[in-house]
Amino acid sequence: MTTAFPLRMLTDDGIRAFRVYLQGLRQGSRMAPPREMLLSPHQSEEFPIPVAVEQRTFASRIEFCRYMTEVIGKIPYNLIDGDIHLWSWLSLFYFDQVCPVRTDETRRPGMDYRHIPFRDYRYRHRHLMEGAYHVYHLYGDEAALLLCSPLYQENAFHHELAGRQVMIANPAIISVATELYYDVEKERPKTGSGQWSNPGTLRRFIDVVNQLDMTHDLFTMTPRRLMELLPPEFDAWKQGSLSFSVFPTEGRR
Amino acid sequence: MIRKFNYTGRKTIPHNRLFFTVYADAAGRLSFKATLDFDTLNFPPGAEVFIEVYRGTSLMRFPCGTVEALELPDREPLPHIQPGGLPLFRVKVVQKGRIFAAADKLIPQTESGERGDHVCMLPVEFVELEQLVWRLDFSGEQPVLQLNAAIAGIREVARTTSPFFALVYPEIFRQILRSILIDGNFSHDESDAGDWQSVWIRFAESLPGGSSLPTSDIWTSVQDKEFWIESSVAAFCRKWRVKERFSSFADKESR
Repeated sequence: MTTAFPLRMLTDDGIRAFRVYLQGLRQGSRMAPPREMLLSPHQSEEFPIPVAVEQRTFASRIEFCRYMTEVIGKIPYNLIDGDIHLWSWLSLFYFDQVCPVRTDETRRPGMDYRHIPFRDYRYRHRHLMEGAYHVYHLYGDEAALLLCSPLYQENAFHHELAGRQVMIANPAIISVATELYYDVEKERPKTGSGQWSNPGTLRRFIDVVNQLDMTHDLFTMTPRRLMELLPPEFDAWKQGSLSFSVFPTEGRR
Repeated sequence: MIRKFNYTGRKTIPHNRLFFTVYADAAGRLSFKATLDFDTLNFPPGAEVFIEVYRGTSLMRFPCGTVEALELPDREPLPHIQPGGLPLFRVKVVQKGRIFAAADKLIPQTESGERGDHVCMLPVEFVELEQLVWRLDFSGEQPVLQLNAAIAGIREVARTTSPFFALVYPEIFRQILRSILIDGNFSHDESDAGDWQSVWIRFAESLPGGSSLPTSDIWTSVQDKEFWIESSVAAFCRKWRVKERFSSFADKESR
């Protein structure tokens, strides 16, 4: 049986304390997460809309997003989009999953923006939870390529595509990337597809799409047409794809 | 000397044909109005026209009919644009899936009664900066002045107080010119008049006592550029009597 907690938000004080904790971890501290802040009236406060959230284990970021859609999916997106206090609280709530204990009993939190959202757009998508939820909000289960990694890990596809406005805002591009690089059976990227050195892999995809964007209106392009425009180096990744059914063909607003 | 070539074949739409006004309601929700003028540009009448509005990684796109039958947005809401500052605009004229003409990085006006030729050169954002009071953010499509949102009254301090102006704005001006001329290697020959870089350079050139940007064949070294930048910063300080502003503040403080 799992226990439901009321969804809360860290206050400014709570965020400051969370930063101090993250800094301590980076310096080798083995302290447990300051979970008392989750319910502390000084370091956190209730989310304005009563919602309950459960402590669960998620196999992947997309599984987390599916669950969060159940929990907060009916709340207007503009109330949660970019809410530093809410997403920081959620990071602390699920801290064992976004920053698991390693075999040597330390934790490696990485940069603060993985746990406390930054407003600077260069880092905004890097928050392990909000960054994933934003992509899921746009594409739902069709974002599997970007969200199939564990909760503590941002894979190369999310990192490279979600941070580029031209890419992440265009369903045709996300659809083609998924068709090329996602192994549906194994529920993970195809082997080698994220490596920089191989022909037709992610980095070349970004280069080629950026080039096409100079001359073609990619928003009005169907995924099939975009796939046809890719040069032969992508042929090896196309095998078994070309079954587009996932996205509408028209540009979205 | 032109160092870039246009291999795309697409045409440029003059920025002075494209006007955008952004409105914000009391809750900070944005909307916009567009005015596009393609007269005498000889674009294909049936080509489709799209406006793209973007900020950070957020983007919204608006079909606007065709060149001969434009259907332009008027107070169109922008609910999916990341909050915190003004978005930029892009216009595409598309024929059979290919971009026939385009203009990008278009800076909108705000509704605050500014003149039609008045553009926002330096948008301001209020963000977390820990112990920093301000910084310039060059990561987006144009420089943005970021102020520490945790400092009470920072908005008024930055807007109205002499010491802030005297200590911060000349340095902002210097950093922006350095970014344009030294990091970006700007030259008039290769830039669109509506680019933010061109707007700032024209601003520097227009300062009393300022000088025109030397042509790229006259620049011989970074030192030349630094000299021009420092001359421009000095002209900026003269125009706004920065020393007097700071002196009067220092006088009051010392009494």
